[in-house]
Amino acid sequence: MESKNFVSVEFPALSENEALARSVVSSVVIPADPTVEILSDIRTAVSEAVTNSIIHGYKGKCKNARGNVNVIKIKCVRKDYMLDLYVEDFGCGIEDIEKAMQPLYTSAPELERSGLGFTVMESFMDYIDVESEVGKGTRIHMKKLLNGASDAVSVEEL
Amino acid sequence: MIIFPVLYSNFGKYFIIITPAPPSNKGAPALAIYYSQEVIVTDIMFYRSGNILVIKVAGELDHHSADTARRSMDREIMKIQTKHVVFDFSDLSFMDSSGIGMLMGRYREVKMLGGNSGIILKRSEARDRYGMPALSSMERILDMSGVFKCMTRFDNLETAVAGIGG
Repeated sequence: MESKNFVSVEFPALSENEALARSVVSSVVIPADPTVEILSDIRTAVSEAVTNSIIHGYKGKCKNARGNVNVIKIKCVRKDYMLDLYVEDFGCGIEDIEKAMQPLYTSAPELERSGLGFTVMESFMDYIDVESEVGKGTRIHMKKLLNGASDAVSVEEL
Repeated sequence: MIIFPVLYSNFGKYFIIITPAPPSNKGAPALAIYYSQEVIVTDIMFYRSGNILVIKVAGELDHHSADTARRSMDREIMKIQTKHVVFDFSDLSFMDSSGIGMLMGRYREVKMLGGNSGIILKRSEARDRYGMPALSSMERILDMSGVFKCMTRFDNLETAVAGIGG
């Protein structure tokens, strides 16, 4: 039987919404009955993506120069055992994606950040794609197999 | 709509609640997860044992809670002025890379004052799909960042207090 579900949410770039993002995504994932480990991998990756958008995309500001609220959009699609997750912000964008994805790189060294955000997302999820335009925003697309068979499929199949 | 808790999961502390299925979705009841209130609020507790300050963090440690945690930890470390610090993460259900930044910052502070730091983590019950023991997400983040290279890992408070102080 095919099971399919999706959710999209939009919320202001407030740090308290990191917990909200995590619970929304886990609620979509749970019916596929993932292992505790897969669920917490996904929750960690969501948290990293949203934290990146808040701290680096919007520089920790909840409102932009014109007084509009900075929003983060999450779309989460589950089809059978495949989770597709999109995290999108409309902040400053990333100039050099390759450099930003290197371990220990951070654009805010004064904030005591570890610079591991993208590294964690890369290693906890099965697929990651980052699209970004300077001044327009960043969109992260991640995939994860929920039945734990992730190392049995190649990236092309995803 | 009637909701009733059916199970108290031992992973983290969330309730799994069965809600009546929406009319369009006949068949199995929908499952939803609701966090119990005390988990969203991260708890930080401080204990002192000789020259060791034990900082117990329970709940979820993300960017939001790490900011507040950092402030109260710095205040206590300054105030209590013990030599060594032990982070007790045995009741922590979630941590992301923000927690690493916070840990490394405190490690540097304690190191500068000539102390050691330790970290208490529960042995993970995680299994991979072949049923073999695996690292939990939290252990993997800590491992990846090299925290275990500068902080000693302990299983419980007793061994930590004996190991760090001695």
